[in-house]
Amino acid sequence: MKKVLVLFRSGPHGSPVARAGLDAALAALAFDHALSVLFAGDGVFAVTRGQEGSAAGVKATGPGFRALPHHGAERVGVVAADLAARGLGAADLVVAADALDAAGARQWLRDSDVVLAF
Amino acid sequence: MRFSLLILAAPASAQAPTTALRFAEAALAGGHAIRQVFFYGAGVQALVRGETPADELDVDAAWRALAERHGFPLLACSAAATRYGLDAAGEATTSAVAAGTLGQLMVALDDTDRLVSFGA
Repeated sequence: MKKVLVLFRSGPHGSPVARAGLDAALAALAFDHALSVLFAGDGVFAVTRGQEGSAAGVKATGPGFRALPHHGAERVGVVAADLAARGLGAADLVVAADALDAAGARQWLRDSDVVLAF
Repeated sequence: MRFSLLILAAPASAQAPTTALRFAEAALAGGHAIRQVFFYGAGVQALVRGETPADELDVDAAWRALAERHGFPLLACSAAATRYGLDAAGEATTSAVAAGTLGQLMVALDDTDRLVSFGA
């Protein structure tokens, strides 16, 4: 059992990695790792409200991310400056997340045994 | 230190799998161990063995040689391979990479000191 942090830096639909990262986060929980999830850069779009995938023919990832705390994720964080830079705030997110500054995000990385970056 | 590597980009379209190979070579030369290399997302295309021109690095062959010499597994996620239209078990017969599961990655984390991700 490790402290696993899954770091999302990619938007949800422009590349396959956000979807892959969500599956990896769920697998970490299934194998009893202690999971933290951190959204940074364009990764904040993965948890932004209003991501309707159907027009693009993709399954929206929002519901999956929203369910992570319910499935046992210990911490969900977002880099506050990356939200603000994209004109977003906490109310725009589908999941309750700790708003972190750069030092806070670095501490989450240091606290982790392994980091999977998507 | 025991490293596991996570490769998310396809060999033919990104530098990341080659960078990961160079990282693995450097880590092993530095006395570290590789626990597992896991190809995931678009990286499962490492299962597909193409024809590399003679004057280019054959990344598939280089991974096979390194993995065999040092005894670590190269795995690609079967579920992701299906998404890309690959028969993982069939492709794995000629690839350096075996078909695997995300669960195997999660189990390997228990023997891993650091995981390094490439290609995202």
